[in-house]
Amino acid sequence: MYKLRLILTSTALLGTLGPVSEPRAQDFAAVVSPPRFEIRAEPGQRVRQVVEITNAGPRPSRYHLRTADWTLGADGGVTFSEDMTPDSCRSWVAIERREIEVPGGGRYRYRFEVQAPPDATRGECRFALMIEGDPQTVQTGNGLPVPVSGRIGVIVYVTVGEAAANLQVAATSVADTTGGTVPALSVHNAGNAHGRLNGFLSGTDARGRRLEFFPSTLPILPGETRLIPLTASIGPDAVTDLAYPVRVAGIVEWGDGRRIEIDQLFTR
Amino acid sequence: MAPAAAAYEDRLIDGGNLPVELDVDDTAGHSTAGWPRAMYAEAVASRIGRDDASTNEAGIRFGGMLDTPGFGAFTVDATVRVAGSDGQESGNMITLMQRGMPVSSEWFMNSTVGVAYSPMGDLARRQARFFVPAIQMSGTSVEWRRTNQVQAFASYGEPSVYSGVYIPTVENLGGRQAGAGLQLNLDERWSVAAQAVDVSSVPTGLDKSSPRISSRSWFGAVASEEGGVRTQLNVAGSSLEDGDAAAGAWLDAMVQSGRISHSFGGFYLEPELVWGNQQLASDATGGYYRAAYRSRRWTLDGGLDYVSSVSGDSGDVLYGTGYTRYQYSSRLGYGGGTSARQNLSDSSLATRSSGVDDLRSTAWSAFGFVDAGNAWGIGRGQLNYAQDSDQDSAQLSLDQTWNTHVGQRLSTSLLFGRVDLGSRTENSAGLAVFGGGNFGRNFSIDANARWNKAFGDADSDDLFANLALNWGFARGWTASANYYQNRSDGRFPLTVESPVGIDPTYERLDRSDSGLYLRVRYDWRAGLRTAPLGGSPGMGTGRINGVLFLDENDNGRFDASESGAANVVVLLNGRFAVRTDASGRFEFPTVVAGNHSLSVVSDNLPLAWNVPAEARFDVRVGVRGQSQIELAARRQR
Repeated sequence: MYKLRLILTSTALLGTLGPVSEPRAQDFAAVVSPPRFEIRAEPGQRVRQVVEITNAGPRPSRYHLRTADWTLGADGGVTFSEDMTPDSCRSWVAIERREIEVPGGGRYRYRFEVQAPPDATRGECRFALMIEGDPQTVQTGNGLPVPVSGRIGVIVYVTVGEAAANLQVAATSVADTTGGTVPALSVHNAGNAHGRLNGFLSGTDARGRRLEFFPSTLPILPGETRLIPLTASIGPDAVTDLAYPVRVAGIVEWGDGRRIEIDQLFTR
Repeated sequence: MAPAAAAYEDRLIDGGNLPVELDVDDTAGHSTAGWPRAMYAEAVASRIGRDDASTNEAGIRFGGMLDTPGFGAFTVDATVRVAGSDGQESGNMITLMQRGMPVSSEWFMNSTVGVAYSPMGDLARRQARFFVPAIQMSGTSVEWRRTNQVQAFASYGEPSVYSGVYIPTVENLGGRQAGAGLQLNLDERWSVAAQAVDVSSVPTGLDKSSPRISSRSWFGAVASEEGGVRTQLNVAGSSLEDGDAAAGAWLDAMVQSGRISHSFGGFYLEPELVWGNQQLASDATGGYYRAAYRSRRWTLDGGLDYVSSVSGDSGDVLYGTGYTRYQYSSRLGYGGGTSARQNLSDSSLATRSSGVDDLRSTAWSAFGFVDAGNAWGIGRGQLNYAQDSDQDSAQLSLDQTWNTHVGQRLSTSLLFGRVDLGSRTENSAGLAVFGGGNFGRNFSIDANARWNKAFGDADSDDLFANLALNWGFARGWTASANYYQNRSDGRFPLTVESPVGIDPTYERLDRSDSGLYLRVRYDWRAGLRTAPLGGSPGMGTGRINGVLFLDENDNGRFDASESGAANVVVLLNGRFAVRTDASGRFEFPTVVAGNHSLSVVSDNLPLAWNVPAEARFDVRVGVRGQSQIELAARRQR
C-alpha cells in the first residue's frame, strides 16, 4: 500500500509588493512556527496540521491566508505563484479560513489539511501556505504613497508513497558567489523527492593551503539539476580568495546516510 | 482570445467554521502603567531526611525585578527559612542587586547588598590557570565602570556560606572582610589592575568551628593584548596576623598563530599564599605549555605542565594531556584523549591527605569516544581507563539524547565499570535518565535519576533521584512538587588532573538523604507590557528556562549522568540576575522576544569548574515561546 509522506518546511520569506526602495510593512510582525516538520499518512487519509501564527507587534493584526505554488530559482530564491501549476497538489489542501485577526502578542493555531487521493501516484509535489498582512501605505523617496504588505510563505513538500531523492553529481565547475569564486557541484536529482547535500570535504588550493569544504544545503527538487557551491574554510574562518586549481576530495552525504565520493580538480 | 482563468480559490475546512484557537498574552491584563516590573512570591515547605535524622523546613521566598530608565535594573531575592525542631536551623537571606545605574554620561554603577561576593577586576577573573577566589559574604559590594576604561570596586561584609536545601539561606561565619580594587584600561593594548582584601578572624573552612584567620592579601596584574598576542603578568601576596608572609607571581601568554593557538606561562608561588580566608594555589613553581587547533572537522589540543614544590615538601611532577576529536561526517564524530602525571622525585615526598588520592602521585588515564547521530537522536559511547599506584579502573558509558517532540526532552546514560584495587576487584553498573516536558499549557514534569550498583565485596549502590512537577493552576499561580533521594557511599571514579592551578574539592562522604518539597508560587508583572525585560516598546515576550550543569564529558550537552550547579548567579544581557536552584535550574519568566545573551558569575561554582567570565551564551526567545538552554561549566584539563 502506498504511503503518503508529507514534508512541511517553513521558511520565513518576508517579501513585499510594490516597486519601492526599502519598503517596510510597519505593522507586519508575524512569527510562524514550527520552522520544519514532517508527516506520514496513508493514501486516502486526511492529515491535519497546525501552523502557529504569532503577532509579535503590540496592536491587533489581520492576516490573509491562501495557498500558492512556488518555484526555486538558481540562486535559491523562491518565487510564489497564484496560478495553479500542472503538478500542483493545492487541490488536495483545505485551509481553516481565509482571514484571521490576532491581537498584539497573541498566538493563533491555524489549521490546514491535506487529503491525498486514494489513487495518488508516488512522488512529490509542493505548495506554499501564504500569510499576508493588510496592505500598508508607505511613502517612497519621491513622496509617492505606495501600498505594501508583508508576507510569509510556509513551504510545504508533499511526498506520496515510498518516494526518495536520488542525487548524482552530473558535473563539476566553479561558481561566482557572494563568498567568492568557489568550486561547485552540479547535482541532479533522479529521484522523486527532494534532497539536500551535507557533509565535509578536504582540499588544497594552488597556494598549498589545506582547506575544508562543505556543500550548500539548498534543496534539489526531483528531476532538477542544481549548482551546489562548496564553501571553503581554514579553521573557523571562511576563505574567499581561493587560488586555482583546487583539489577537493571526500564524501558528501544525503538522505539517510547515502554517500557520494568526490575527488576532483577544479580549474577556472 | 480565451478568457483569463479565475484565480484558484482554496477549499475551507468545515466551510470555514472551525472554532478559533487563539492564545492571548495572559499577563496583558495587568497594569501597563509605570516602569516594567515583575515579582514572584513563593511559599515552600519541605522535609529532608538525612541518615537517621530528619528536618522540616518551611519558608517563603520573594523576588522581583524593576527596570528603570534612569537608575538601571534592580533585582531582589529574599528568603525566610524556619527549620529544625526548635528553630535552631532557621535563617533568612535578602539580596538586592542593581546593574547599570548611570552615574554620569560615562560612569555606570553595579552594586549588591545582601549575599554578595567580593568583587573582582576583569583581569583577576581572566585567568588561564590560577583562580583568584571570590569571597562570599553578607554585606555589600559596589562597582563603578567608566565605559570601557576604568573599573573601580569595593566590598565590605561578614563572610558567609549557603545553607538550607530547598530554601536557600546563608550562615554568617563571623569576622569581617573588606576589599577594594581598581583596573585601568590605559589604551586598546594595555591594562593594569590592583586589588586587596583584608579579613579579620574569619574561619578557614565552611563552618564557624574551623580555625580562624586574619590576613591581608593583594593582587596586581598588567596585561597587553595586540595582534593575536595576549600576555598577562600577575603578582599576589599575603600576610597573616602572626607575621607570616608569602608572595607569588605568574605569567600567562596566549598567541594565536593562524589556525593554532598557543598558551604558555610560568609561575612561582610561595607556601601559605592566601586570598582572604581562602587558599590560593601555593607552594609551587614551574611552567606550562598548551597548543590547540580547531576547525569545522578537527579539534586538537595538548599540553605539558611541570610543577615543583617551593618548600621541597613534595616532589616534582610532570603532567601531560592530549585530546582530539574528528568530525568524520555530519552524523559521526570520534576522538579520544589521554592524561599522565609522573612524579619525578622520591615518591615518599608525595603528600597524602586523608581519604583523597594526592594529585601528585603517578597516574595516567585515557579515553576514547564516538558521537553518532542515529535514528533516535544523538549518542555517545565512551570508554575510560585510569590507573594510579592504588588502583586501575575502566568505565564504559553510553549516552543518548533522544529525539522528542518540541517541549519534551529525554536523555539516558548506561555505565559499566570495573575497579581493580589490588586486593579485590569491584564491578559496577549504572543507569541514568533525565527527561521531562511540557504537557499542555500548564503542566510540566522533569525527572532525573541516577543509579549505580557495585558488585562483589563492595556490594553497595548509589542512587540519586529527583522528580519535579509544575502545574499552572490559575493565572500567575504555579504549584510545584519535588522529591529527591540521594544515597552514596562516597566513591568517585579515578581522574587524572593537572597539578597546576587545580584546587579539588572532592567531598568523599557517605550520605543518605531524601527530601520532599512543595511550593506554591505567584508571578506578577506590570509596567508597560510593551517594554519587558531587555526590550523596547512594542515587543512581545517569551520565557527562558535553563540549567547550569557540570559538563563531565565535555560534550556540551546535559547528559543524564551529570549534575546541576546550585546557587550560581546567571545574568541576562549582563543586566538582570537570577540564582540557580538546588538542581542548577533558573528561569527568566518574562523576556522580550529576540536574541539575548546569558553569562554566568562563576564565583560560586565548585573548583575546578569554570565558565569563563567572557563567555556568552546566545539564546533566541520567541513570542510566548519557551526557550530551553543548557549552560555548560567545564573542568580544566
